[in-house]
Amino acid sequence: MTKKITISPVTRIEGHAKVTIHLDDEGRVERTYFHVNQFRGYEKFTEGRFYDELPMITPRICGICPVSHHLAAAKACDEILGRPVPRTAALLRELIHMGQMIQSHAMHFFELAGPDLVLGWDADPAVRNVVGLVRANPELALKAVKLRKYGQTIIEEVAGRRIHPSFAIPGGVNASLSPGSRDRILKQVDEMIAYIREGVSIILAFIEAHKEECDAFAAFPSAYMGLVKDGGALELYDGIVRMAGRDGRVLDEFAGKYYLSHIAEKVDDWSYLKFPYFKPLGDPEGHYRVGPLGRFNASDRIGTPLAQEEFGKFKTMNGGKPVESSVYYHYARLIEAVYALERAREILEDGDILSRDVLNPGPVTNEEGIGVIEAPRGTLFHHYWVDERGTVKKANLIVATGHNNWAMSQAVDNVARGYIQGHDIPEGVLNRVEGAIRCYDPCLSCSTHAIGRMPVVVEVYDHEGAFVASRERA
Amino acid sequence: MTETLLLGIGNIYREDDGVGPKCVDLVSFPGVSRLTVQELVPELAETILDYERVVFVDASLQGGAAELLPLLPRDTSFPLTHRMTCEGLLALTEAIYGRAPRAFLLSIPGGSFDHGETLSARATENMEKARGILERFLRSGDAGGA
Repeated sequence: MTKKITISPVTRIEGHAKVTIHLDDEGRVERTYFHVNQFRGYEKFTEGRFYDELPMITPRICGICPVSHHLAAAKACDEILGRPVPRTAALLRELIHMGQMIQSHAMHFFELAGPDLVLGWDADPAVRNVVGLVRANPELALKAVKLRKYGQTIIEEVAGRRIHPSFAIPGGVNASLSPGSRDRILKQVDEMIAYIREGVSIILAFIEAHKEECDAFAAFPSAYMGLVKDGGALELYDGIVRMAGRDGRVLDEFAGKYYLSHIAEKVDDWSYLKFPYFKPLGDPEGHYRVGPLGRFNASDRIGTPLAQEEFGKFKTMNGGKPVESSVYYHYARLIEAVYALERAREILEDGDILSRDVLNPGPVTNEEGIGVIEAPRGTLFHHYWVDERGTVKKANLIVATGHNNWAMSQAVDNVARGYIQGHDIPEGVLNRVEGAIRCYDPCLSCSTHAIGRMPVVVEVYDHEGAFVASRERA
Repeated sequence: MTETLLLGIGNIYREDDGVGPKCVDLVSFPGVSRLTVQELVPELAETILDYERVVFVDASLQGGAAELLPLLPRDTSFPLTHRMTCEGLLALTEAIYGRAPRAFLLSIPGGSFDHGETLSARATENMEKARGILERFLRSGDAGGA
């Protein structure tokens, strides 16, 4: 008898994701899928708007990473203007992007990865959550909250408000940085770096204690994509897109505005969300991963010292080959947070940072604009088509969770095959299946463009579709 | 310590989901602070700690009329999403800082959650009622509860 296990969020409005695990008669996994309901209403919503509204509208896609959408939209609008952004404006945009990275990565570590890493995969689910984590290690929890707060403080000091700022506008930004704001942000950098390095130590200790399991956990070959600059250095705000192959060699490098020539999307009948792949390799060899692990496997180095030190260790984790295990996303994520803090300090200490030359406005000169940025979860494309007056005719957004759609399905399939034997499935095993998804930190708000309030239900069915059991997460 | 925080939750570009922030924008009272967010996030624990009481103002899919309900801290976990509930935020605040403010939820039923900036007739009507409930609540000083 075969059995189907479903891990299914039920959305408040529309858009959902679920995991279905199909077992055969002997309880072995036949195939596992991660399904995401794609809802692209925001693209439609932008049609008929004036292009310079988009840096304000598109951040509402997500309450977690609005700054990424804000900046990708502004960069696309810069192309519509066809004018260079003043250097200081670019630095200030990058600075709030670092704030976003710090708070987003800290949130993932604290809320989603932390309970598994600190309390263990098999801990009682009643306590294996953020409150349980606080009770187990209150000092760590307080530091995690302070880290998130610090990231938000950067955004607020630079952009005037911490949530949905209107700071980046076509051609630059709408305010320069005050010396007081610069000094207040700088004052806390070292303390925050110490906090995040504590998190790095926790992850390394977890990996060391569970080395065999970690190395095999949701490990599979893929290509890897991320922005790089200066011949291969990790880049989060600007740069060119690099695609690296399964063996780590560079397959291609291209300007983000040519993404449609390099990336195609496959449709499968079991998911509403498409499966992007690198065109020259085709499907399935061309499927790639984005986000921290994807960026690290696509990069040669990091441009700041402390992050580079950790990056060097990361690169040795699989004998110099690309790191394939999804658990290492957690490690890469916190190394990126170290980089974001160090890079924030570099930007704040730049001689041009207080300059008032922050805007280079002009008329609409191009009827198409593409903005690319590395959002916390991976490469984010905003592509707008406008008429000669700047009215939006069409928009296309490709978000990180979309890029990782194939990889998340591979990850849950890999873990399910490795751990599920027979119909008696312990909670800790189901937690590992969910944990495979958590490695990628999918943003369902972004990928479905829904509201992002999605309780999770686990349902079990037999091969005839009869309900066997359920487990509700919300 | 400031007395009360009104915390509007929702997306103003998702029609009735924006009713919470829009309702909060309508209410101005001495000693009352206002904040609007799209989603609840952990660092709000530090923010709400500064208040004696917090009123979360949020849209609802259920219920016929706006209502004000007391809230207690409650552990909630959404291990695949970034969702945080009002009760979960209170529980987090209590766990980290040893205390949490008294809290209430002003729930405002809506009817349409598509993309758009306008409220449905149902949400508009409920928002006006919610505003009245909120103003009476703030005027009363709330000695004991909702």
